[in-house]
Amino acid sequence: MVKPTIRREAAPLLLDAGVHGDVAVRASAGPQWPAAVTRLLLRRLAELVITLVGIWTVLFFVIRLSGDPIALLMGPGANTEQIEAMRRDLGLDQSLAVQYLLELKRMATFDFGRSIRGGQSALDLAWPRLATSLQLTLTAMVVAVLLAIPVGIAAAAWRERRITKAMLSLTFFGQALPIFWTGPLLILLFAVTWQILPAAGWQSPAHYILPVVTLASVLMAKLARLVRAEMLEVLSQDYIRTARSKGLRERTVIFVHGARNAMIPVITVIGAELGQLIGAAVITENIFAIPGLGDMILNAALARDYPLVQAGVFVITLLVVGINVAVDVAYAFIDPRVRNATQR
Amino acid sequence: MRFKFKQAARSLALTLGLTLGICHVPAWAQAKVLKVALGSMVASMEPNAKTSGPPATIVFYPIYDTLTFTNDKGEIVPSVATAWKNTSPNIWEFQLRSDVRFSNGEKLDAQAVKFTLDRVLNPENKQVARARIATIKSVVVSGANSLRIATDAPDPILPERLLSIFILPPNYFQSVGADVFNQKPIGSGPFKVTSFTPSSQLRLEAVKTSWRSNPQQVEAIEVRSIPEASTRVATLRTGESHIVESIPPDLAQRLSREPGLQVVAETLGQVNLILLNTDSPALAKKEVRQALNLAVDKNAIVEAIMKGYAVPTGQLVASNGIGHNSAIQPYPYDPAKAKAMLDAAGVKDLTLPLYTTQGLQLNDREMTEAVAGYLNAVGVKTEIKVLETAAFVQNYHGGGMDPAFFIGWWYFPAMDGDLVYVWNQSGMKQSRFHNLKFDEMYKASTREMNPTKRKEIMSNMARLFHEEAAGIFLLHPRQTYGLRKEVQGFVPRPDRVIVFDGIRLR
Repeated sequence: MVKPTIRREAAPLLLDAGVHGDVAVRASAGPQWPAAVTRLLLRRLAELVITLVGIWTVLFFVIRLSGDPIALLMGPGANTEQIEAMRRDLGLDQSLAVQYLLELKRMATFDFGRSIRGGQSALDLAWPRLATSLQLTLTAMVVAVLLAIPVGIAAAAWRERRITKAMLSLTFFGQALPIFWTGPLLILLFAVTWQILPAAGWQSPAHYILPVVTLASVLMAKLARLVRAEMLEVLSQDYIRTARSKGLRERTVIFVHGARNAMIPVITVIGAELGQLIGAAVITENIFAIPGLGDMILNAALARDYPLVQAGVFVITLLVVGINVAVDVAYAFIDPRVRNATQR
Repeated sequence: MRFKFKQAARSLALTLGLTLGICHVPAWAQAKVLKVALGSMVASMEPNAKTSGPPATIVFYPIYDTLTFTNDKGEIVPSVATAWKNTSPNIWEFQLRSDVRFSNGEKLDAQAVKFTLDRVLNPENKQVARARIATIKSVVVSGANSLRIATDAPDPILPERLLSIFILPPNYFQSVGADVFNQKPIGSGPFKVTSFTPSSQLRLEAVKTSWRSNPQQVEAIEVRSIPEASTRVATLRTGESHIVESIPPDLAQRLSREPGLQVVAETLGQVNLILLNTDSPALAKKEVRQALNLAVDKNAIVEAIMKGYAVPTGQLVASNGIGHNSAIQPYPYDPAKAKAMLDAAGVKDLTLPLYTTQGLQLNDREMTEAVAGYLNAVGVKTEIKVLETAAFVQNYHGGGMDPAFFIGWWYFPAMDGDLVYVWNQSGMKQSRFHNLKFDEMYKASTREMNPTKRKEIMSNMARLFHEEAAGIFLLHPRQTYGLRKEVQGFVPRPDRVIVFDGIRLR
């Protein structure tokens, strides 16, 4: 097996995400790289199924061992017999093993059962909420990236300017402040005090601004720092000196020779952060009363609405794992090391 | 080449300014649409099937009709049923209005009521509301607008139980089935559903033809769930909501001083107490339990934690419910006497685990911590154990959390102490009170059809529960609402129901 040569600037990438190192090795081992990509894709899809079933299994048992929905559902006024009867009706009186096998069988046909509290199909409830959550998460991600990259580049390229220092410090606020604090603070300032934006909901673009900024603040700080670090690393490379000595304009050196090389690990991290961002979206949705998937899962978990929690988590898992697979595969296509390795 | 920062900053500022400028349209404060923010929202629109508790009653009363209703004081009043009487202890007869129609034109008659009750009572339909009317044996249509309901045993509070059964349109329901009904519900109330996102939001539109409609009622209502209290309050201050439920007490004081806003409150049909297991060896002596009551300063808890939005109590039912005993005063705060009583009872080195939830009831954990502080002051050690809601409920029904835990019991919408007393019979797993005399009294109260005599039995039960000190009594909370000044005709009620047809927007 030929080990690909790892260039110095790519080191953080391999440390950050071991998988990608693995990708490069696998891809380079194959005789022809499209076949390697196909193999990779198949392996990743198999992993996707295993991950989904694994997470679903853990969730199945954890949520059942942590409490029972029936007493919560029936409310005051129901006696023990009535509670038992309802439990029987919903099939929750059977042993966990039997319940597990029955549900596993149903899950194979993508039937997640019906919400215990609402009676509707759990997946039908989850899809529209996924759309809302994706709107929130992806917008926040785009905003974070659009803000973080220029700030990070500027912070590395013009280190001594006061304005870049100020911008970088500002982004650190995002990392230092938890979103359950940032959110209410933004509401207090923009909605209550200045009355320029609404405080809660997801009805119009005006409603998107505060939640998106809240959610983006977390990722932005992290990305800006990463971009800055990568840029500093890249700008100290020999080829940058060569570029400068060729007499290229500083702008060309920074943006074309510097930034493009610094972006490779940043893109990987953006993909990996999506999962975390969806987690943070749960809190954001709660603060801003956004009818997203996180809000649904949180309420369902509190009520022990098993099918709804399972369907919601399944959809999120599918999304996160699916995006990771897509990133992996795309990476195998775009990473020049893979290309170089296979051309040898 | 220098990066033109000034230019970039200028264009950024311009973009931002334009965006905010476009957004700065207070369009989210439309006229004639009443906007309401609650702490939670129902998951289903089928009213008797899946949900219980306050968001359901708030949301379903404007859409559906019930046979009976309560007034602002919690007294039972006619609704679709104009009159009812006992013809024999096990038989109730109800007379119905003849002018009630569902919003699709279908008639609401005795047949519709029978259809609804039969549907709820049939175990195959898995209706949560079945538990509330399980005493019913049969329902017979005795005329187009009259109904005869037979119960297994005498049931003095059947009309109160029927408060929470919402009447369905039989033809529509049978033709579309439960799933479609859940998406496109039809009721006979003064408002109809135009859109519904389960567990999130609901939009209602006025129905002009309902027997409850009035010309002044608002044209539409938007009800949203905003679980985070500070956000809920923020929407009131920005004008995104006209009515906001459950204002945290410390915010309520501040809000009530803001111009254009108002905070109103009403004592709920609810009690908060630390329930004591009278069978637990450490607490078996009545004197010990009484001493624990004397050790706790209820008034201070009401003032400091609830900011005055509560009423201190020494019993389970407040003056707004049947089963209240007006002669019972809260245990006075007397730590010296408490200490002396504990000494006399030979209590030494008592450590009391105190179980509580956090956030299930308003200030549940805070109140438990305050009680622990007071008990520590008289030499009783405490261990606070916080349980998550589902674990708490499971332990409650399973007989766990020995020997003491914080609980909130409510007796709305019926506003009858039976809903609370029922949990305190010795034979039940849920009961921590083991007193044969109380059991007998409870049994008698469920058979007594004469309201005056029944009230007397229940007020004696309150006396016994108080003297036996089966719990450390704390308070009856008051439900708070924030209102904008445009809102008129809003009346806070002890059952947490909001009567939307009486509300107008100025």
